[in-house]
Amino acid sequence: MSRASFLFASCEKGRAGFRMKGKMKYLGGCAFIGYKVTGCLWMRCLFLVALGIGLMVMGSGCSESSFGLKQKKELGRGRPIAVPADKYISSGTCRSCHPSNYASWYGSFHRTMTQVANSSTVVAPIGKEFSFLGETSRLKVRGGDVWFQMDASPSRRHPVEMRLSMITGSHHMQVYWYSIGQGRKLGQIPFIYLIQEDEWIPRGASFLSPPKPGLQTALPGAWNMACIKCHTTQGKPRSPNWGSPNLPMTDFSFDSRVAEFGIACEACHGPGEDHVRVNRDPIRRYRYHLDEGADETIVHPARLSHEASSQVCGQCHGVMEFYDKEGFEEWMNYGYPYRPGDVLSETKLVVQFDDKEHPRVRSLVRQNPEFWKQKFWSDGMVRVSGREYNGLIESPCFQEGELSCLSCHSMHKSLDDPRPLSLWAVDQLKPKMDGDQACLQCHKSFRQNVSEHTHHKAQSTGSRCYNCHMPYTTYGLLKAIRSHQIDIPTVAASLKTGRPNACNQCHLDKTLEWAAAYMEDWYGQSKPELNREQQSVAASLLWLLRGDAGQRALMAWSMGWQSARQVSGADWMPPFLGQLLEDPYDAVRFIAARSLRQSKAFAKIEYKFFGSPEKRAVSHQQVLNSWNALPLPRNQSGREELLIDHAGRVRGELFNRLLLQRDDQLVSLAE
Amino acid sequence: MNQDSIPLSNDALSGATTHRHLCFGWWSLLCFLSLGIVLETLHGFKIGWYLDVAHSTRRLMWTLAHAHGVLLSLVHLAFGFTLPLLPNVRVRWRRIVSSSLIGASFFLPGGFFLGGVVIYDGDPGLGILLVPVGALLLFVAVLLIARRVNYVGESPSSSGVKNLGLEEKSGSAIGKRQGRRHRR
Repeated sequence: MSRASFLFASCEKGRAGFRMKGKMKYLGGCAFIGYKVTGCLWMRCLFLVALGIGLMVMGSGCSESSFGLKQKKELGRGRPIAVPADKYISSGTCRSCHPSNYASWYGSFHRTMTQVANSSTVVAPIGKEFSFLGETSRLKVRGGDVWFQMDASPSRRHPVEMRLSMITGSHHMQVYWYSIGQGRKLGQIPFIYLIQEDEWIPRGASFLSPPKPGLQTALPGAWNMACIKCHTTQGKPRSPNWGSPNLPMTDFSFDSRVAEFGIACEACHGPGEDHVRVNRDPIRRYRYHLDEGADETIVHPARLSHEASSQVCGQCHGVMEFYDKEGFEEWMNYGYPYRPGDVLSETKLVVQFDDKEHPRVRSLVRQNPEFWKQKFWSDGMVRVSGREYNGLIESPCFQEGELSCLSCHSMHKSLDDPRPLSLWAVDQLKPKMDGDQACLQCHKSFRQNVSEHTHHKAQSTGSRCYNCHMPYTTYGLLKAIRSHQIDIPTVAASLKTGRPNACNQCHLDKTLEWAAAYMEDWYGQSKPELNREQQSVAASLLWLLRGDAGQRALMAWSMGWQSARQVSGADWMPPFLGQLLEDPYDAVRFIAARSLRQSKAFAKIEYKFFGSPEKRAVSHQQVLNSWNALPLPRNQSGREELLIDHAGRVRGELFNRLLLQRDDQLVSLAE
Repeated sequence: MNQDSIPLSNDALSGATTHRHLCFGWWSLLCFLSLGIVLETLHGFKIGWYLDVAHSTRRLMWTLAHAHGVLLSLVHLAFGFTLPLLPNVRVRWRRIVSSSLIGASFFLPGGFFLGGVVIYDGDPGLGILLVPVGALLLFVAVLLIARRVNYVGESPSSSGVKNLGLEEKSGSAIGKRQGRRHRR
C-alpha cells in the first residue's frame, strides 16, 4: 500500500470521527491514527493535545449541567418538585465558590424549612406508637420511605397508611405531608411532632384556634397554596384548574414547582445564573477579590439600604397580600415577581393597620371579618410570629434611624463567631446581639450608665434593653416571642389593647397600679385611670383569668419564663396554671402544663393536655391539693394582689368572679 | 593550561547534573514529606484555620502543594537515574531539562502553597498564578526527556540501546519498526 493511499484511509477513519460529533473528535481520531501508523513524535504530541482539549471540552460540558444552567427535572412521586428555572440555579452551585456561607446556611433552619421526607430528614421516632382520642398511630420505614400508619378504630374500620413525601419545619416542630394523588397535591397527617418535647400532638392543638372536636388536618392543597409561599424558594403552585368556576379550590390538582425547597441562597440573593456565568472568568473574579467592590450580578442584602435589606426578609416575614387578581394569578403560575433589591411594595401589599382603607384590605376584611384580630393587637402592633417585618417598619429605630434585620441577625455565621453552628442557628443573632449591644451600637449615650435609664441594677433582667422595648407579646409556635416593634412600655397601651406591658410581664406579682406609679415617677408617663381590680389584683392574674385565649397563652408562657419566675417568685403560680389546665384552648393547656412543670413539686405531674375534660379537671384538682399541701411559706401568704389569703389559700370567691368574666370570644391567631 | 580551566567532558557534566538532581530530589522529598507531616499535625490538633469549612480552599491548596512537591521530587530522582543511561546528550538539552525541572519544582508546589496562604472563599490566592508556569516547565522537561529516551531506543547503534537493554532481537518491536522503514 502506498503512503498516499494509507493516509487517505486514515483520513476516512478521521472523517468517521467528525461524523460522530465535533471537530475535536475528528482531530483526535486523525491524531490517534497518525500516532499508531507513523510513530511520529509530533503526531503523538498532537494526539495528546487533542485528547487534552477534548477532555477539557467534556469537562466544561459536565460543569455546564452542574451549574444548573439546564433544567434538572426530578421525578418526585406525586409531590412538588424542585426545578431550577427563571435564572435560579440552586444552592449547590453556590457551594463551590462560597463554601463557608454555604456551610452556615446548610446548618440553619432556613434550609430545612421544607424537605423531602425520608428516614434521615424525619426527626420523629420511627416505630414509636402514640394515641389520641382512641386512634393509635406510628411511623414506619418501608422500602426506604417513611410511612404514617393509623390503626383501625371504632370510628374507622380500616387502618390508614400514607407515605410521607414532604416535611415542614425542623426547629420546634415537624409537620408531615403525603401525596393525595391529584398531580402534586399534598395532604397533611393529623399530627405534628414537637421536637424538644419529643411529643406528638394533634395538628389542631399546635395553633391557637377555637377548639373543635376530633382530629383536624389542613385542607387538601394547603401546602400547595399557602406553605409554598414562604417555605420554599420561588414557589409556583401551578394549578390547571385555576379559574374553573364550579370547582372548589380543595378539588384543584396541582403541578407545584419550586426553584429549591427551603429558604435557599437565591431567596435572599436573587437568581444566580448571571452571577455564575460571568464569574467563570477568573480575571473577573480576582478583580472583585482584590478591590472588594460590589458585584452587580448578584444581590448582597448587607450592601442594600436598610429599607431594601429588610424587605428581603420581609418578603416572607411579613403580613403580605396580593394587590389584585392578576397578581395572584401571576404568582400561581410563575411565582412571586419580587426579587431581592426590588421595592417590595411594588409587587406585594404589605398590610399595615394604616391600610384599612385600601380597597384590597377592605376586600380581605369583607371575606374575613376577623382579619385584623388574627394578626394584630387593636392598636396595630402585630401579635403573631413570623411577621416581624410589620413590627420592624413601625419602629422609630427603622423610621428615623437605619435599623434593619441585619442590625441584629445574620444569615451566615461569621468566621470570628466562637459559637458552635447549632447555637448560632437558634436565632441567627450576630455575636453580642443577644444582649444590650444590639441597641447600644446606636444608642451609645446609654452605654455608660444603663441603670440610670432602666432604674434596675446594671446586670439584672430589668436592665436588658430587649426586656422593656421588645417584650414577649407576640404569639406563635406554642410560645411567646419578642415583639419586633421596638416600643416603650406603657400601662395605657395595656389598658387599650389588652397587650401585657413589659413591667407586668416580668413582675407577674404586681398590679397595673404599681407599674403605672413607677412609670410616672421614672419617665413622666401620665397615670391612667384604673378600676379597683386593676389597682388591687396582679395584672398577670387579670389577663390569665379573664383575658382572651391569646392573653391567657401569653400569661401561661410568662409564668414559665425563668427571668419572671426569679423576679416575682413562682410558689404562688401553680393554682393559676392549674386553672389553665382546664382551659378550652388546646394550646393554652399545653403551654400552662409546660410552665407548671418548671416547678419542682409539679415536674412529674400526670397530665395529658388532650385528655377528656373530666381527666383535666382531675389533674387540676390534684394540682390544687398538692399546692395546698406544700409547707408555708410556699405562696407568699397574705398577698392580696395574688388572691391569696392569710391562711395561704386562694381566695375562691374573687378567683371565681374573675374567672366568670373571662373573655370567651373566639380567638384564632394566624401565625 | 591551568588544570582548573580544563573543560569538563560531557560525561562529567552529565554526572554533575545527575548528582544535582539526585540531591535535589531527595532533599525536596524530605521537605515536602515534612510538609505532609505538618498538615497531618494540623488535622490531629483540629486547627480551625486549616480544617474549617471556611478554609477548605486552603486545605485543598496545601494538600496539592504537598502532593505535587512529593511527586516532583520523585521525578527528579527518576531523571537522576535516567540521565546516565542517555549517552551523548547535548549540553543545551541538559541545561533546559534541568532548569525546567527545578523551576517546576518551585513553581508548582510553591504556587499551590502560596495560593493557600491568602484565600478568597472558594478561590485561592494570587500565588496560584505560579502553578501554570510550573506546569509548563514540567511539561517541557518531561517532553524533552521522553523524546530523548525514545530516540535512544530507536537508534540501534547507540550504546544507549545496550544500557537500556534494548538489544536487537528478531521480532522485537524496534526491529519491526526498522524493517518497515527499510521496506518503504
